[in-house]
Amino acid sequence: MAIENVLMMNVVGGSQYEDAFARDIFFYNDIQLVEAMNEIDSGRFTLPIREENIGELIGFASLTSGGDIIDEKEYVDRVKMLSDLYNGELHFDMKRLSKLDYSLEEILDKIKKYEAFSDEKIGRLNTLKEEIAKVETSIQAYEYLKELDVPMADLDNLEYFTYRLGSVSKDNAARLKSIYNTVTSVVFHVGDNENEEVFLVISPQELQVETQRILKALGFKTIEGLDKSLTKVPSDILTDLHLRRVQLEKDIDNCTTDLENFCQENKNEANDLYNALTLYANITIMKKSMAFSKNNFYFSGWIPKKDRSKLEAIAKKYPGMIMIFSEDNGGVKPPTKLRNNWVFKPFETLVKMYGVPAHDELDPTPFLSVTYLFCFGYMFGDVGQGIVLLLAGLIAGKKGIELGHVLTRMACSSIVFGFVYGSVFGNETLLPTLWVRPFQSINVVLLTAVVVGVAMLLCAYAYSIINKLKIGDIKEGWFGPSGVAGLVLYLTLLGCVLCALGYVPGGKPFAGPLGILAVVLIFLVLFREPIANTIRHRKLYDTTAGDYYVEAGFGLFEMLLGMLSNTLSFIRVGAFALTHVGLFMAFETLAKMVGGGFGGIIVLLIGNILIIVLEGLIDFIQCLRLQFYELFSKYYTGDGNEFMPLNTELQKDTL
Amino acid sequence: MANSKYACVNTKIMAMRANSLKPEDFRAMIREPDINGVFSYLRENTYYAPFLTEVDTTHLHRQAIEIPLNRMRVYEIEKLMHYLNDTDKRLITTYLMESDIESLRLLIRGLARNADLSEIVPMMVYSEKYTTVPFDKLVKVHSWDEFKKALINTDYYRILEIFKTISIDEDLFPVEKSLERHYYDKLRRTIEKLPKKENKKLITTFRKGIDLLNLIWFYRGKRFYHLSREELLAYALQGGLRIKEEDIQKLTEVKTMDDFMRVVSAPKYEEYAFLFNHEKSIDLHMERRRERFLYFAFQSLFNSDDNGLSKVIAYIRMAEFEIADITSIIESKRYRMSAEETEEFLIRYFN
Repeated sequence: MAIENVLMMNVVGGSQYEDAFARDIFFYNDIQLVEAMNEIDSGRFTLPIREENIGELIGFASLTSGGDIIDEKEYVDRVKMLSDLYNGELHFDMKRLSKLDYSLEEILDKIKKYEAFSDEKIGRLNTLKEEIAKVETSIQAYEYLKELDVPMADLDNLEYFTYRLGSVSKDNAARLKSIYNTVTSVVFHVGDNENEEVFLVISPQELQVETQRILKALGFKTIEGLDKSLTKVPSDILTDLHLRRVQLEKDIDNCTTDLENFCQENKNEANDLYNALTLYANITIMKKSMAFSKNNFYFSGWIPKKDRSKLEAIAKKYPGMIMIFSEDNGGVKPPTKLRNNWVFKPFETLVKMYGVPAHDELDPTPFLSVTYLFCFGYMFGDVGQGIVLLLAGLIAGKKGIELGHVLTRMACSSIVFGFVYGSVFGNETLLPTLWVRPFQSINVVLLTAVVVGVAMLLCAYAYSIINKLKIGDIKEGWFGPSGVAGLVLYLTLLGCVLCALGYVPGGKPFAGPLGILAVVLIFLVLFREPIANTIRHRKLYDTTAGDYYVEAGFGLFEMLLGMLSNTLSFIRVGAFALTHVGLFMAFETLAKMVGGGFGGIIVLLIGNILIIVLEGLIDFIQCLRLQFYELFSKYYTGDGNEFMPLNTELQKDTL
Repeated sequence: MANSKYACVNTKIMAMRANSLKPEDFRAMIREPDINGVFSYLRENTYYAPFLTEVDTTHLHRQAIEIPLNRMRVYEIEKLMHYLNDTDKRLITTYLMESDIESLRLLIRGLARNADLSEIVPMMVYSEKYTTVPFDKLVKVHSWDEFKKALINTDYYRILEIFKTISIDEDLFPVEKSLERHYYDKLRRTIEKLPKKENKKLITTFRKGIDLLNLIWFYRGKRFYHLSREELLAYALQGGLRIKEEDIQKLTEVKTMDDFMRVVSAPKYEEYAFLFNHEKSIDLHMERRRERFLYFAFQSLFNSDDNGLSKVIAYIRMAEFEIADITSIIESKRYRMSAEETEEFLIRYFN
């Protein structure tokens, strides 16, 4: 079975064990956390009323949710601090963590060294950087004044005048120039930057207010960076500032080197601390989903059924711990945990694109994988191009792209079919064919595709019937369009058509009776609700009879149309196999038209690239369409929730 | 010969212009007894109808009608954008800046009187498609500093950053004048980039508009605000047709109003004499006279043989005047003015 059974696990344990237990669960990690408080509030988390449980039962009355009292910030902040200190070079590693043997006190003690160092060095580094930024601003400001051969002290100490250095936009500069001669200030144009012109304005102190108003009207923006403590001539100040900048840069270098040395020297220990703190952060986050009474902690989570004994072994380590498992957790829909072998596993991505299977539904992944691979290979059968896809898939898979793994499997199928067709990079002369060459047996290729399609549809019917009967849906399972009646109807219609057209030797006389059977079955499907309700001794119609027949009437129409269109839809699988060859033939002709040789090779190369990229993509989409539209619509609902194991979830939260 | 580049947009403009209100429409609205009558007329007989469906008719007031009309105007300009490209598109985008600035002005005034900015939202009209101002962020700010910070990636930041506070008495006036000046500077620079030959009349009309704005600014600055020459110069607009640099100097250095009137009566300003050659009503009708002058200028531009963007700009401006006139009619109902009096205040001129 590709859907793993899960159990709801409820745990009550002594407060003294909460950390140790959380740690064990973290290392086990194949668990989906559930808020214990919610479980208790909703009455799903209960304990048998026995004398030995009395303490735990009383605890129910005075519970606090972990989320209200626990804060992981203390650990998360430190993890972040270490991560920043090492520029993200430290990594969380379960194996390393399992070997670590630090107590929490030790960790908190050791981390102090890093905190102090980080505070000091990074603090200093930031101060230096701020200072260098300040020096640079000053350099820019004094650059405008460097022609000025007066000590700045003289300007600063003017008794009756003040000066301002600032810039205005180019448009306003023109306006400022037009009032040069009448304004109550001396205005010097001292330079310009990107969009603005820079002026030094010297004005009498008595006319401060007026000057200020006019400058404001012109949008005059003071240039920052002039410092009254710098008293020399601007050119000398600039020399000093440049020296200061060199010195600061040196200081920054030294500081950085110190930092690097420290980090290098302590990397091992830091990595241990990083892991240990991540663990504590994770444990703390886990504890947020627990509930606490004075003496006990309460914990809930979904686990795979097969691991029950593993968890029971954990519980045994802690005296007095109560662990209760339940399969149907009070009617709550359990999460779905998929389990597929390595060949099929990547195809779970495609299934999840449509929806996660419900826990009581058959996992469509194996069926999807096999049929998907067949269809793609059939459409895109080529040894050479398959190898290119394989390489692309391997690279993408290495880079962590989930679809890369799907691609490698698709590529393998393509290679297999390449041998079947005897095609290498479109060339059909290098390899012998194991079956047919698509373009030479067009009808065979198309018909085979339809026949295989029919087989797939039959499997889809089977899946649908199992899924529906599993949840006790008699109406749809037995009499529905995708149920047993639908399947028999499909087969009957198929038989009827084949007999009537003479494909079945001596079958012609059967066409009539099969037709009559088909009509009976159609009525069976039409009356499925009253029939099913009669069997279950319920009232005939769930809604009014009128509504039901209008809907069911259209449903019938859709069903019959669907049977025809779904079957014919599979012709595309054959058609694309032909397109694949056809496209190559077009490029081959083009190659000949350019006179072969080097030009021809280029044309074939481009042709192959186009075929791989464009047709590869189209085939990928067409296969997906067949799966989602023709097959999934018959048997798959996909309204489950995915099982989210602890590990990934916590890591995301922490960093 | 028609320029094929503009054939498409000009055809569109002709179609849009056909919707514009006719003198009969204005007369009919003037005849309506009250604001509800004007509103019903607009909703039943004009192309503004689609934008008026959601107006609450129980409490009709000027803004309740004016705002949807302006929304419609912005929407029409957005539609025209599809037919334009490059410099032309840039010009219209710059033109739309005026509504950005108007909305900014509303917000800044709101901030200055500590109002809740979210209440100003319904009054703001701007092109959501072409604005560069993050209005969604601006309406959520609580302080002047936050307001400026939200504008940091726009041109407006440089204008506003030098204002440390936003007090009603000291800062509002320079802030608004600076924004207005920025708009005209930008518009001028965009217009300068238009092909000169094809847009000769358009450019001339624009430059005359600048002259009028400057004259009114100097007149009011002297007469009402008693501003210094330097301040008048600081907000003077550049790019006028007849009023050049040296004229600006002359116009601003006059000492008294009499001197000013003497300068503007020079033959050079003859074309603009209509602003001042009235006995009593100079101040009251000055703005209306400017607009009426431009109305006729744009009307003639619309019918001119300029090959460039003239029709587009003329249409846009005339649509603006149309809304201004509708608004005047609405106001006239409030003051219970007679039909003749109301016509006095309109930009367009009948008979």
